[in-house]
Amino acid sequence: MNDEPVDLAPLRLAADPIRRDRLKAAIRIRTRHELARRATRETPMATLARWFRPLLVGSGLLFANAIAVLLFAPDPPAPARLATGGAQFGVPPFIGAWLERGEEPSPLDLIVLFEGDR
Amino acid sequence: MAIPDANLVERARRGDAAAFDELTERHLDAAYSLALALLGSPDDAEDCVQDAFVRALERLDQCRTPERFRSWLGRIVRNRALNMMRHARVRAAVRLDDLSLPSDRGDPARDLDRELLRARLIGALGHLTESQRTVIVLHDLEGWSHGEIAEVLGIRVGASRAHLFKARKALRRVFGGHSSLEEWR
Repeated sequence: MNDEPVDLAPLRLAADPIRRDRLKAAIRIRTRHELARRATRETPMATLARWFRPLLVGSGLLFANAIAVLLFAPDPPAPARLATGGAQFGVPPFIGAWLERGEEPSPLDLIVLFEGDR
Repeated sequence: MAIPDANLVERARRGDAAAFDELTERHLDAAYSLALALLGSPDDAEDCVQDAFVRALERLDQCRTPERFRSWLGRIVRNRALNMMRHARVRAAVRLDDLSLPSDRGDPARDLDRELLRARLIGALGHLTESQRTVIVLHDLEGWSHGEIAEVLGIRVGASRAHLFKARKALRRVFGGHSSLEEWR
């Protein structure tokens, strides 16, 4: 069976150069704005590059501030001793002493604590 | 050595007008032939091709395989042509007659002959299905591979071959057994 290509040459745009040129010109006109928009569009790398310097300066300032605080800040006050200072908050001195030593109260201490007044 | 399409697409994405011009130059003929075969009217084909190139540029970032730009563009042309066939079309395209280009159209007798041939060929293509027209124009006129045509149509390569076989057979029947209109008339 004959299965050779069919001659479709009359459909070719190249056969009509005037029409072809007009079509190209029309496409050029209609794509002009989009191409201009794309030409001025910023790429992600360009955005990063634009922000890199201010970010670097900001990080440097934060670092310098942190160093200054570490070097020149006064020492924090020592915590109040529970055994002695806790009394002003109503904590009995012997309870403060237990807490400071990290020991459990003995049964005798508990009896004295709860029954001591009787 | 010709610059690869992928390179031109990359440059056009960044707004390089010369690169997009080159893409237009390379693929204009195939886009027009396809649109003409589908729509049957040279004016509608021109509108369709204009719209397709504008859309292609607007959606260039969505072209995931720039090395296969022409089959991606072929899909856009075909979809646009099908839309125009389906819906009442609003002519938003630049009116081609408004463009100031040379009006010398060469030999009038030859032009008329060409117009007649084209009209008869378009009439003959009207006997084919839309897929058959797409396949035969892209294969026999533009020399595309069945792989590329299958991509445009979203079908398998084997189906593209089958469409081509049927399209040739149908056209030869219209041409009275000949392979071209020249032999037929």
